[in-house]
Amino acid sequence: MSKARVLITALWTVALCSLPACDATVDPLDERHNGESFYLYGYLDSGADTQFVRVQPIRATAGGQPGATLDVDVATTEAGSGARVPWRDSLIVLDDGTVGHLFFAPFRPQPGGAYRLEIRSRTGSLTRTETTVPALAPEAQFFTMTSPLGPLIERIVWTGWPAPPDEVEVVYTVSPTLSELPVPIAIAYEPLRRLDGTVWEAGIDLAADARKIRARLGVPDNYRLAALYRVQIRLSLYSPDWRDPGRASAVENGAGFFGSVGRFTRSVLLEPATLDRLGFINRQELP
Amino acid sequence: MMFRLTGFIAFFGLHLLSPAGAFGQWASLGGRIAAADSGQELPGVHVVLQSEDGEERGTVTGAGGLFAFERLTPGAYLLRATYVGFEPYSDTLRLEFGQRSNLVVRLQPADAPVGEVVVEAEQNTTGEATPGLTTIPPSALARVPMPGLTPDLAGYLLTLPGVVSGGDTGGHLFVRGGAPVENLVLIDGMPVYQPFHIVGFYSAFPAEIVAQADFYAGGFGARYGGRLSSVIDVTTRNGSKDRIRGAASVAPFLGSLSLELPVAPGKVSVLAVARESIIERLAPDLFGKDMPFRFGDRFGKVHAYLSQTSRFAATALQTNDEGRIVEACGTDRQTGWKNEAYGGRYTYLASEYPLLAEIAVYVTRLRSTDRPSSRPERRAEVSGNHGEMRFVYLFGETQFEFGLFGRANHFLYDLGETTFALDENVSEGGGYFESRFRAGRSWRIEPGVRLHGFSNSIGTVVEPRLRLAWTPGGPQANQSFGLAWGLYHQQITGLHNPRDVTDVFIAWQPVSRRTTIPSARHTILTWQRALATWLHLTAEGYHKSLKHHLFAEYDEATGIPATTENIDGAARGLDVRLEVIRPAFYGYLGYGLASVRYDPNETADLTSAGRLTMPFNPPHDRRHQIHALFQIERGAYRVSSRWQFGSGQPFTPLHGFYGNLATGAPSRGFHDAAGRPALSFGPPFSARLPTYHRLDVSLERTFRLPYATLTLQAGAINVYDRPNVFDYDFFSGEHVRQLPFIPSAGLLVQLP
Repeated sequence: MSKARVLITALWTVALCSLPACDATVDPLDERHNGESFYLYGYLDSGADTQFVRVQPIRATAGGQPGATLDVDVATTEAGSGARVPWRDSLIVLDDGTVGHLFFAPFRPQPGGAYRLEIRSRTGSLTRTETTVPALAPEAQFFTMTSPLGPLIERIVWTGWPAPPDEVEVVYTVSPTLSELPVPIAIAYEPLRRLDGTVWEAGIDLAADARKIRARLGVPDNYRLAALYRVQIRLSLYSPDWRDPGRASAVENGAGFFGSVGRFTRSVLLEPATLDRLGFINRQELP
Repeated sequence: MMFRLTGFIAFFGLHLLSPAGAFGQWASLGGRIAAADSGQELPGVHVVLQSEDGEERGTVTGAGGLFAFERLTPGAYLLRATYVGFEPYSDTLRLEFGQRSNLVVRLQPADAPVGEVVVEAEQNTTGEATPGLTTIPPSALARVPMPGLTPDLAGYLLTLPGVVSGGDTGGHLFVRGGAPVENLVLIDGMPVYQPFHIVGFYSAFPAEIVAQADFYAGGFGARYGGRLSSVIDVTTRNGSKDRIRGAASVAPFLGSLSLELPVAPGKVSVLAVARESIIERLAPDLFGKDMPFRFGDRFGKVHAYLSQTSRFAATALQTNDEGRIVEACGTDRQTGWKNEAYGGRYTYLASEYPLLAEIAVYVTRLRSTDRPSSRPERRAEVSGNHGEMRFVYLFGETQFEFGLFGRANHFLYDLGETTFALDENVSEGGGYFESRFRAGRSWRIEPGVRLHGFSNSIGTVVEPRLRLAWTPGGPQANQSFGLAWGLYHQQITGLHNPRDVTDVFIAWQPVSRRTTIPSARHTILTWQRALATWLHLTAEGYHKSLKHHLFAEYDEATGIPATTENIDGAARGLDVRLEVIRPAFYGYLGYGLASVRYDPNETADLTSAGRLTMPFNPPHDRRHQIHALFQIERGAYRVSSRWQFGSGQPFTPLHGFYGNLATGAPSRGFHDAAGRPALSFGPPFSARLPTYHRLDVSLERTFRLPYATLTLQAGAINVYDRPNVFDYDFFSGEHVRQLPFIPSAGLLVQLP
């Protein structure tokens, strides 16, 4: 065998032996991603006095749990006023038996307000997102009207809304007896009917609602000792984030979802005769 | 517009009917070239006419094997015709004053295909540049080592530098930046939607059925449309009309049977080929592991000479694929698809004029299913009834081609979610015109235009096309330059999951009438040169710009498109091929340099969270690709080897894991929920997989027996067992590998 052939054979042998040794593994973690980052999930509710958000550290491994310690500062800042509200951590037992971190803050966000949520770790990393609480357009209104179909049917009409609200509820505050504390019972209404370009309508079936209320109170259908204290119509608007809450959102240095809900309420005063026909004791007060 | 079209048809018709006396003071020669055994017309044959004083004129046969020379000085001529896989043909002719001769040339198949290539190559000419086009004869398919003795078009395509495979399994091909759904694949003019088998080096096109395959990596002419990226136009063989032939082969991956019957000798033939995989049954015993891929195809063709001037062909194709592509991860996703195509084509070749007219009707269908264990079944179907007419006329060395087509398509899919289902009918129709003419000896110019309209207000488009070749010194020179340019639209596209290479399910659909039709503009520059009689170099630069390309973002949990991005983009690159063609040696070295970049369209709705907003390189952006192929023949032995290398393809890296608490509407359910395991991703497609490389080899020994030819093969796929990465399971941390080292042995028996 000539020298050239020996050399070529040797080179091929070395090449073939070395090729399998080339690195063929994947490190799926982003090399450029440094520091801690967090997953958060929650929303601001203009109809609630306390706000909640869950916070989890994003972990480098699939297994494991966040654990009891989460050394972060969570706060919201309202863009207009600059008012900063710190949130407090609460350790909760999750439905799988592990523990999680539910942060809460005692404030009621204002419709139209833009809020920035920041999670700052002790190492200095910052996870940030923001939401703007939906507000009613100036021309938007909603009110109730008595239906021509009879006293047990009311109509909710709202005008100046290019799209229907995301939720329409009628909230009845009732108690099973006069000696018990009243509780709110919300009954959702859909579908909604478009009367005109920006005018929407839903019919409230008071008789059907009365049956649902008795069912929730656990009393029979012919039970007439329950008292009704208040009737409210509540419309809710979701922030645009809710269109796709399951996907990673615009959370800087992190993942998750932080949206908001604007709640708008009007009280309705029912006629005593109507309540009598529905089988409730009248305890309504003037709104 | 309608008036102009009518005027053109009238002009065209008058030319057809006019006598040849327009050039009566000259002689002219035309005709067609066909295979002697099957009668198959042969496009792409080099025809050279040499006069008594040594002057040569050359041309290449077009559709129907037609060729023509006009304005010839009366006298004696030598006619030569050469074509890969056939014996060279030569004849002397004497053309008289005013004579118009019409020849039918029948080329005899060559016994030694590789040797025949040398005959053609020894002319030390490069031929005229054909930008974007690779013409693939069946003999070329056998150069690629395969696990078995059934060479296949897919194996060959994967050696071309601009072609990127989604993986060793899955059957997705990306051509010069285009997506699999942007490739138009035709068999005898019938579209086949998903022709590549689940094991990537097999397709519906084994060498037994291929007469010729034209592969346009871009810049295709006006005859083709409805796709943004490439065209694979397969013309099938006719069965032998003079004797019964048959073949059977078996190898670990599949077995095949083929039969050719001269039903009416000299007039009617039948060709039938069936292949069926056996790897799923043999793998557990042979290799000690499951290879759950079941696939096969059945092809049949009846070809008949109805008269001296007319013929009819009926073609049928069925394919089936089913398997679990990511078996290694223990996933239970079962993916499958079935193609069907049936059609008939009547061809008229005029005896007095170099005219070809064709009428074809066909039906096609693709049915796909995907059954993941964790989600509802997804299924999709696309079917169509097609009709087309085509006319080709040679007017001297000028060729005119004109065609009309109409199709009725039906789309159906159900992605397991009631909100993501489709049942829609869409009609389409249009026409095209293209011509090929010469300007002097050096230039070949091919302008064309295509008009394509759709029902359902999807829109009508006009697509200009241009192909040029400049061969300084004429067709027999040793170098040539080419340019192709064209505008392309795709009204029917397929939704697929580009993030997940293991998800090969495609749901075909018409583009929404509310969106702009995706379009592309191709520009290709080619230089090819015969460096020696045995050494040929081709370099081709390309640029494809994309507009309103659809890029679906699939939801991990539901498996349905969460968003469909409307993006622009560009693919650019350089493909270089060096071929060595010697009597007993064939060598090929290909290098592809490419860059594919997508830019999310600024007009897209960005209110939804997680949209792609930054430019990125999609998963098929393979920057560097090398193919080295050689084949040596020594007597009855043949050794083939292929080594392929690809730089790492993009993937989206991970930031980490969390428990997803998402709810569809505001509720307090998230307060104490543990959440579903979920991934937090980094910037889209910002990391790259390790490089891919693989060596395949095969050794064949042929025994010529009195009544049969027996061929034995031994070989191996991935000889050095490179653990190429196909996918990565983020949750288990397990690498999903491409095909491992697979030894194989094959047997082929050919009768007679």
